[in-house]
Amino acid sequence: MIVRVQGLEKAHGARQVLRGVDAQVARCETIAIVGPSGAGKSTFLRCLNGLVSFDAGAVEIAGMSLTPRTPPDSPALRPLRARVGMVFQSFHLFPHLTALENVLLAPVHVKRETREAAEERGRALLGRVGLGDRCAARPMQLSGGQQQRVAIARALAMEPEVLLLDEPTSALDPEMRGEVLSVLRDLAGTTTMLVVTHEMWFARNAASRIWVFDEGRLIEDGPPSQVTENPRTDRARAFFRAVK
Amino acid sequence: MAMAALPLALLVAASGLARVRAQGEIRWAGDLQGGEPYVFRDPRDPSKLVGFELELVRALAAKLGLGERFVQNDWSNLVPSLERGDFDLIVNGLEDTQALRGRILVSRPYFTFAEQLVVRRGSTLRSLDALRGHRVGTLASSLAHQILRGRPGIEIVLYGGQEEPYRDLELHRTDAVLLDSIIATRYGLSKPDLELADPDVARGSYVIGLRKGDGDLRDAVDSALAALEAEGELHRIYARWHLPELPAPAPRADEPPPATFDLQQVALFFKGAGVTLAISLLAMALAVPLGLSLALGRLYGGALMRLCAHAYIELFRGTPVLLQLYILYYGIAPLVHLPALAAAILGLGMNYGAYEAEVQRAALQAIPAAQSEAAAALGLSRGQSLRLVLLPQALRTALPAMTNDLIALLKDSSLVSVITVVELTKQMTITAVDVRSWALPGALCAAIYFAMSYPLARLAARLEARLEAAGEEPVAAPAT
Ligand SMILES: Nc1ncnc2c1ncn2[C@@H]1O[C@H](COP(=O)(O)OP(=O)(O)O)[C@@H](O)[C@H]1O
Ligand SMILES: [Mg+2]
Repeated sequence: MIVRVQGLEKAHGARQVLRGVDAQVARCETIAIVGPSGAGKSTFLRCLNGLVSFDAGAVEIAGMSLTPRTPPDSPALRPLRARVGMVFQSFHLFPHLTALENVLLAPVHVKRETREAAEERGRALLGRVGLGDRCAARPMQLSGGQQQRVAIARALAMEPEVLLLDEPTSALDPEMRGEVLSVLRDLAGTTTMLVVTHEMWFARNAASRIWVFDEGRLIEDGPPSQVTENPRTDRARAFFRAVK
Repeated sequence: MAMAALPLALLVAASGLARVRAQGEIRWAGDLQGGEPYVFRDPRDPSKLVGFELELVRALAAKLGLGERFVQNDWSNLVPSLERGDFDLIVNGLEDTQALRGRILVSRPYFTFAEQLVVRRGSTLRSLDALRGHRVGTLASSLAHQILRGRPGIEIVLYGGQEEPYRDLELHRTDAVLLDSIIATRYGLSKPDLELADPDVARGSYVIGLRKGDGDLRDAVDSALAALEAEGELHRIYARWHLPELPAPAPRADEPPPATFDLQQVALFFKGAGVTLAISLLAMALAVPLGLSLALGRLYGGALMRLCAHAYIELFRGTPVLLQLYILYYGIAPLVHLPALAAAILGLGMNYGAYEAEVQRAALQAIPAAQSEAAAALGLSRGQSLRLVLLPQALRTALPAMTNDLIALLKDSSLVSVITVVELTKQMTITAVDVRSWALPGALCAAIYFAMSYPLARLAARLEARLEAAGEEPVAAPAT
């Protein structure tokens, strides 16, 4: 198992956001995480790379373990983050750098790759997400869909063992979602991915399992067909009826 | 008030005498900062003025059957203020020179003094000839200044007050001071480390200054002075103040003809502009990294560092830069002996560092938190995130504000003349006195400042436009 989560609990102030989550992911699985807004999906994902500290429980990911209350800026988290990539809803590219420089930054400065080697791989990665000709463009000059593909290439450049994606298409116009989702579909099966998404079509067709979050709990965990057509809980059934 | 009085005065009187009669009093000006013994605040009762010039004016006014009222005015601007009608007389150690006579009317001399050369005790440089190639201090635009300029090879260091030339002499920043006997006695020879090298380099006299066109008032003042002298009243006043009376000076043969605004003067202007530019750029080169360190200390440092950075910023923003320059050059001189130029750059740099710190801090804080999160998620350390992600963005948004600060610095740099640096504005005031006109030197000075700051202003506007086109907000310059 490349991800193992046990009894994860997290409160924001008085509000209990995660109420004891247990989950496991095998290598090269693609997990689609769905659920109503406010269910704790983003918080869960951020606990996995330490951007949010948790109160109780344990996380093992990519061979490293995370303990409760590790501050998000702790230097101890750096090796973990070098192995766990993250893609954000609003891309968060670095606006002062070109697409290629965005992709190079971490390999050169975290992995200490030579610039030449990193650049070669960076160009190849941008080619893979369909942006081989936009290496020199600044984020400003790219469409939302293109920016998100650069962000995916930036995460992939670290050759992560696990890739976390938090609603990667939610900030995009509908006509740009396809280009991002097709990149993710190509990755599915070769990369371990946890994708928070509202794209039920993607969840059904590209994911190996679907997780349904509700009020800080993982209430469904199974293959897409079983979870979407035959959920065990009423709340999951209600959720799928609403998004259909 | 003086502004309102001016047109009225012109209406009432084409004659100065009729005007002061109508006023019922003589308005006379001096600078209290000149201190003892001229006219100054009574140390025992600061609400009262005392001084030999006050007594002189009182006697004079009584002779004319008038009252008197003192007007405080910065010493270096007494003549222009007289010309614009702020008062009727200047009575404040005004030295009789050709340059002065070319510009305003002067009375008969009321006091004769000797220019005295003061050196450090035991110094071997005891004459102006011996001081060739050395630094000699004096007051800007004084008779002594003129005498020194007639001696090529002497490096002249100019001051605005009487105390500082002797302090710098004690500190080995200069090798001699040439000033009149009153100043030398009170401020120089009172210091145990200093002594008189030449008690009588030249003679000069103090005169009362009047506006051109006030000829009848001048005649009245002259006859009143003559009467006071004949009655022995002047003598009694000087005796009370222990001022030695000397025979009047022979007419000075070596007095240079008044300067004209020629190429040589223009060359001096450009030299001054070079000093202004160099000081400003070097001070900014100091202020930016200093400001950056302060901003980082304030945003990311521990509690103690945050407190120190905050204290530094508030201290330097909350006190006048003039005071900071003074402390740096004179205040800490016994401990750290800074040359004037270094003190100027350091002082302005440290002061502007506080402002740059706030600009950089605002720029750093304007970056969305998501940027550091994205950097952290890639495994970058905090230092790397700062260096590679946050600072490049902050500097870009802060650049227009920093350019505007450089423009402000260009102009603020004129303050360093208080610590003897002759930059563009100081050069302008020296030249203006020499050529007896402010118009041309003033216009040229303004033109040079404009030529230096306008390109910077254009640059700032361009940088700002580029940022806005990129959808980013430039950081607003905090009010300086
Ligand atoms: N930094 C925070 N401070 C306070 N409350 C938070 C914070 N982040 C998330 N929450 C709350 O935690 C709950 C779960 O949020 P989130 O994980 O973003 O849900 P989801 O991604 O499933 O929509 C929400 O009610 C949200 O308001
Ligand atoms: Mg969310």
